[in-house]
Amino acid sequence: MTEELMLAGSIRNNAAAQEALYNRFSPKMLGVCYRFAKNREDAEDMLQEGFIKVFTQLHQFRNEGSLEGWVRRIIVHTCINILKKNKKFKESVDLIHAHAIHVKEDMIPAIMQAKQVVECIRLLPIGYRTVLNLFALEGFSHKEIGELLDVGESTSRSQYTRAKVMLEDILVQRKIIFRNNNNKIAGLSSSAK
Amino acid sequence: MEMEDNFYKEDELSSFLNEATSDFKMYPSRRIWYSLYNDLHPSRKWPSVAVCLLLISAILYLGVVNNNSINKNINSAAKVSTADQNKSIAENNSTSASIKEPSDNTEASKLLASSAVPDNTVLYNQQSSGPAIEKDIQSNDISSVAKTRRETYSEINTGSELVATDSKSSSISVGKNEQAGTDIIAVPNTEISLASPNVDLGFIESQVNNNSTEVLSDNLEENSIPASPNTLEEENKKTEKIDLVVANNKSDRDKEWIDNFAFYNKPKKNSFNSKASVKYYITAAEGFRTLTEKQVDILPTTARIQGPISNIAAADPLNINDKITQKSSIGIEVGATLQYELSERWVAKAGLQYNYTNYISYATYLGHSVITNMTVVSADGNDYYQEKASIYLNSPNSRNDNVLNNTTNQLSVPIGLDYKIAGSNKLKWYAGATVQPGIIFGGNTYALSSDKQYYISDQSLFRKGNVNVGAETFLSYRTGNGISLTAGPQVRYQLFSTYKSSYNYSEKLYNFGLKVGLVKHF
Repeated sequence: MTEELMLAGSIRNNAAAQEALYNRFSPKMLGVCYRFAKNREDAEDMLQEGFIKVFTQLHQFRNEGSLEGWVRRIIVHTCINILKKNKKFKESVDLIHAHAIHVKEDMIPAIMQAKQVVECIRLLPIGYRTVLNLFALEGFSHKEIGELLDVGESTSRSQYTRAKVMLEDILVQRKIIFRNNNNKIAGLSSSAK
Repeated sequence: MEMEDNFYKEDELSSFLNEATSDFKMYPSRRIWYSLYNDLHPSRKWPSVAVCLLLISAILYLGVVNNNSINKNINSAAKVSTADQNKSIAENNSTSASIKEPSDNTEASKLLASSAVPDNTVLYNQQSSGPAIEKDIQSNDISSVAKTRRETYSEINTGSELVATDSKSSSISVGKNEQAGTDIIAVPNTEISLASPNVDLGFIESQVNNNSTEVLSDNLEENSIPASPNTLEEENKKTEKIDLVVANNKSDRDKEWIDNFAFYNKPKKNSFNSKASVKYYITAAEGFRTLTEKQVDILPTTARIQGPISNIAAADPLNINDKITQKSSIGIEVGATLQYELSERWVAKAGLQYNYTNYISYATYLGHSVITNMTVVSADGNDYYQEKASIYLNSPNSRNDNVLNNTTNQLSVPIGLDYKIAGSNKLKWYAGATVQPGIIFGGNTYALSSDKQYYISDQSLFRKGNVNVGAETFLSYRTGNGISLTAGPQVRYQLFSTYKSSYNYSEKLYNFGLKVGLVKHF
């Protein structure tokens, strides 16, 4: 089924079209949710809630960008809204303690996979993780992140800086990335997919 | 600012992350789609809901119809039984009166007539079929029968020895009245208990009448009232019949049945309602726990390792409880059970119960996150939560002033028995025990990291199902309006660990509490 048919059918509340649209985007969107969520169950809850919004707001999609990008945006906003319901989340975003993080030594992974990178991201404290996800992977600006998370723009920026340092540390220790002589990151990106 | 954003966006790490995770996919379970479908198409649920409602209605209807049918049968059986009984009694009384009818009114016939009905039988007959008796008595002008009954009975016992009643065997043995020279009947071995609820009174009557007729037909000929040829047979029947002397050997149960069915013509009490009751209760309990460290599988196999294990400590032979600071706390349980009296002393019960458990750990709030390890394998076997961020330091030797409430919300189905140790109708003393299978559906836990240095908040560690056992003793006081109040101590112990078996610590909760309850009898 083409994207146009899925879109038109889903707007008409056609179950088959909705299922096709869901089947096409849900795996990638669950991956997005998983980066934000505490565990898989929470990620699936986020996905479900997000797709309800997708289907109920689908008529607002103007074909000005890709459907996947639009869906992803809604899913991300849903994830953030769910995270914000947790009281501790706000505290975590506000905390500034990057230099206090202790990252332990690592085993050398046998095969590097995208999932391992995601798991490394998920090791970050939730505040760091959320800001890093939004900024580095979802393309939000710090201003947008500040508005989204109800924190200052500078807080978002500092959170990201610390998150980046911490994540890089983890990735290096896990031998997922390393720095060459020019201090450039040389990731094993070819096998990271 | 834009430049700065671009700087961040265009940094190497971001590029790497984007590249590495761009195609990252996870496949959701089918359940998600079904839930989503139901949310998007609520109207589609209606057919299944309608079918369910229809089924429930049908079951309820059948239940009600069957119940009514059973009640009808019981009532009609009771009516028939009572009617038969009344009829039988009336006929018997009629016969009693008839036999007193001889015109010569000899002492023998008087004796026979009166002695044929013992105390209890006369009383019984008078109340249940009074009009028949009255009619017969009036018509035959022997109203003195009842008055002279006691006198004649004593005569029988003292001098005449006309009638000897074997009260144990309920048989009648009648001898000859030598004084009056009248042949007296003998009814050999007609053992009957009118009081038995299972006896067909009509059948008894016919048996009795048959026996009486056979035996008496000849002997009472001369005492019979001459009758017209047309009514000879009926008159013979009347005059030849005699009441049975029914031994007064009814059990308490028999008497109760007579009271219920025959005497007052009341339906018997619904046995379920009389034995069932509902108990609502609440318990405030002090909650404790036993925390043990597993001695096996602390270091996962290489194939299962994904994260750093440097701070995974081997199982420590020392008691883990010595390495943490913890304190009991107050929990609560609320529930309702349906109770059913199995016997005078045993009561079975089953119901629904909510448990809130709590205990306290003390930790030091770090103010920042620390990555630590936890040797836990997730349920799907793929995701290992071996690294976790913690902001609470477990340091018994330093300042541990941050209170961590470890709580669980449990829903369980207590099933058990109560035993009445002692008591009267008003006040009873019981001891009881229950098994409570249930689920943990929420709460908060602070689990120890593998090196025991940190507390990690992770609800996914909860074991979904668990079983508690409880023991209690309580006093029950019955008030006048079908309500009993209960109070007493109880102890509850959780059989399985609060955590999933993959976690290397095992925690079992137990508590001691005071349970107060209200029992509503049907």
